[in-house]
Amino acid sequence: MLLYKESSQFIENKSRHGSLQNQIFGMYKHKKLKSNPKHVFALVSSTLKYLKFIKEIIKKSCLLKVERKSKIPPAVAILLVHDLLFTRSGRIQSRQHPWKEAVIRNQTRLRAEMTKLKLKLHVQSFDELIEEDKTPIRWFRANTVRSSCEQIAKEFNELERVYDIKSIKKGTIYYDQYIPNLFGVDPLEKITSSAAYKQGRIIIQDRSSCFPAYILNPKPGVDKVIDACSAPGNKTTHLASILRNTPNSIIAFEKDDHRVKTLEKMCKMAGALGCIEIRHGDFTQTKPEDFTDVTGMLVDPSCSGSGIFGRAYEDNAQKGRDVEDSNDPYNKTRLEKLSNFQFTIVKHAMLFPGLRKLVYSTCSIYPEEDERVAIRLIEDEDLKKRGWKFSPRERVIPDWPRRGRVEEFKSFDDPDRCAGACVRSLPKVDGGIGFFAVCFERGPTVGLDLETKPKDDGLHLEQ
Amino acid sequence: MATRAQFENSNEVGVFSKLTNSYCLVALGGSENFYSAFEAELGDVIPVVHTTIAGTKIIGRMVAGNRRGLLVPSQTTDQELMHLRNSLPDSVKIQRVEERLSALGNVICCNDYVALVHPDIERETEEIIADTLGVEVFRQTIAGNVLVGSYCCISNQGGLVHPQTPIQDQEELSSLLQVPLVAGTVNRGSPVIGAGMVVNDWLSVTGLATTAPELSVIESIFKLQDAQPDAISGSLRDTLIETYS
Repeated sequence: MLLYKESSQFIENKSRHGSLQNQIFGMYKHKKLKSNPKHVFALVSSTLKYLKFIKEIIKKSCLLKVERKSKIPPAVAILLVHDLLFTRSGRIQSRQHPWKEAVIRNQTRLRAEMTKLKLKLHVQSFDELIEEDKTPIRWFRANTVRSSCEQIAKEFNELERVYDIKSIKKGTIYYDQYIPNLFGVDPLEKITSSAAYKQGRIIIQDRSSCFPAYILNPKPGVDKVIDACSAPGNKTTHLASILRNTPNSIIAFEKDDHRVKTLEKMCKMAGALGCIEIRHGDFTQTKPEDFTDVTGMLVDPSCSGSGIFGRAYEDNAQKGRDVEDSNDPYNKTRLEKLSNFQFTIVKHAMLFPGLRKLVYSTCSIYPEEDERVAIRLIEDEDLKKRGWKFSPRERVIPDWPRRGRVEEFKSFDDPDRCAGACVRSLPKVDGGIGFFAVCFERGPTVGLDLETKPKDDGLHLEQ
Repeated sequence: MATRAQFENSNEVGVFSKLTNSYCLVALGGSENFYSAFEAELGDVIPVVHTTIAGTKIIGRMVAGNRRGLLVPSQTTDQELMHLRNSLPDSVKIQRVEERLSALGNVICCNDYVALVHPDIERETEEIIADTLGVEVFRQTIAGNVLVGSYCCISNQGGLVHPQTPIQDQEELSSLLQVPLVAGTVNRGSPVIGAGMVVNDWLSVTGLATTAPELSVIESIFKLQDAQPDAISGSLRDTLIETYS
């Protein structure tokens, strides 16, 4: 019963920070949880998935009214009913306990109410009503620091190659047409248990989050780049891959104590520590003058994460609890704060004297954090003087069909070209998370010399 | 096979008998005609047990059961229980039920997979029904009547319900039971279906007053004859809801 008691706090918990997984494993680490955190997570996440059905069943069966005497807390009742009705074994994992007995006493009624609810909803199984909250495709990238594309292709040659993203199913592999060295497989494929993954020859990374490094496309031996918000380090190691592990070519900043460890682990795993210099600190506190040799920059700051899925049940459960939830991704004040922060950090990045090219990206699907931040930057007087412009589409994955929202740029002379500097992806529809990236650049002659007019390879944004 | 019979000049054969796929109970004191209606069809296949329940002849209203088990009310005497135990196959569980609504035949209506019960039945009884009869138990009413056992009659093939059951209820019941249902009457217009007839998967016995059209509906809905009038079986298919297993 301890498992259920401990899990129940995650069912009713009102003030939540971070994902369910982090909360549970965090509490376990701090010895606040005695049960196996894996069990707790499995139980709670599955329960949240079916929460509204379970609540309905409990209500209809009058379980809590009939068993008033045993005083089952509602959240525990939800968990117990979940295990009784929604698991394959249909067993409550507990020794004799009055709560367990109370639920078992009512199992016939509970089952009947479940059947009735299914009939009412016209389904055979509740799964039909639950939107799959998984990635449609598992993307992974050959880590060219440790391996090569050909070698990885050979390692996975038992999978049949398909040439269309829609025909990816179990047993097939797709070579991405937009990002080199990127492969897509069915999520059921056990990539994480493969030797290639364990030895860091491949890195699981969503396709859209490969865009920034690929757009930046630094030249090995020529460019030096900064990843301003690095952890967990997928984009950083992608840069290392593109830079062919050239020593001292990447500086990775990370503010958070905990996440910097993750970053270090990921870089080590990818074998890219030779070229990546990790700096534990706040990027916005750096002095641009100290980094005159830096020519490229990747900025992927905190965002609402609205393009990320896989947390939908948790979010839904939370929304049901209180409307004024601060974690609601579409919350005006929060978005405003985030976009201000995003603007500040990118602007700071654009002040670096040697910088030629900068890619700003978010995993958000809201224009507040996407195009509007880009527009604020491009319209900023300070940055205009420094010659920052949108990159032309030809250098920003030209084939990718989904560009920036043209309507956001309608105040510009040439909205289509502005939108061409952006790439977007929609969650699931485009085979992965929702994402946004925009590329800025300035002519090679600019540097610190603000008088020289930049070359005409970009866009004119004088209004 | 659908036959007609009378018990002591009464057409309510469902009151005086109980028919399932593995046994048949008949009340004591009937005429040989009544017994032979059952024995002629069942004699060699399943036991036909002559008994009383709590000293009464209205056994069909007192007990509920299916292939797997038999529920008897708490008033059943030890002697009767012993007799039943000796007469019924060993595979049939017999269980006494301490239920305030003691006319189990009126409050429970079941086939081998599903039981419909009176909405106010006790929770313990509900559990006993599920355990003994091996069925899913649903609290239901039929055309607004709480006595589900009186106003409907179901087998594993089909079911006949109170003539005033709304179509919507029929569809809901039919998807719960997983069998086609039809609203109808027995005994020349009687809505008390459960009392007027007994049925299992291959035999039905109705009161002598049952008309030929009533009998033809019964034969087709319970699939008692190989040759079925197409009109009825065709229209019945619509009531079959296939989304639920």
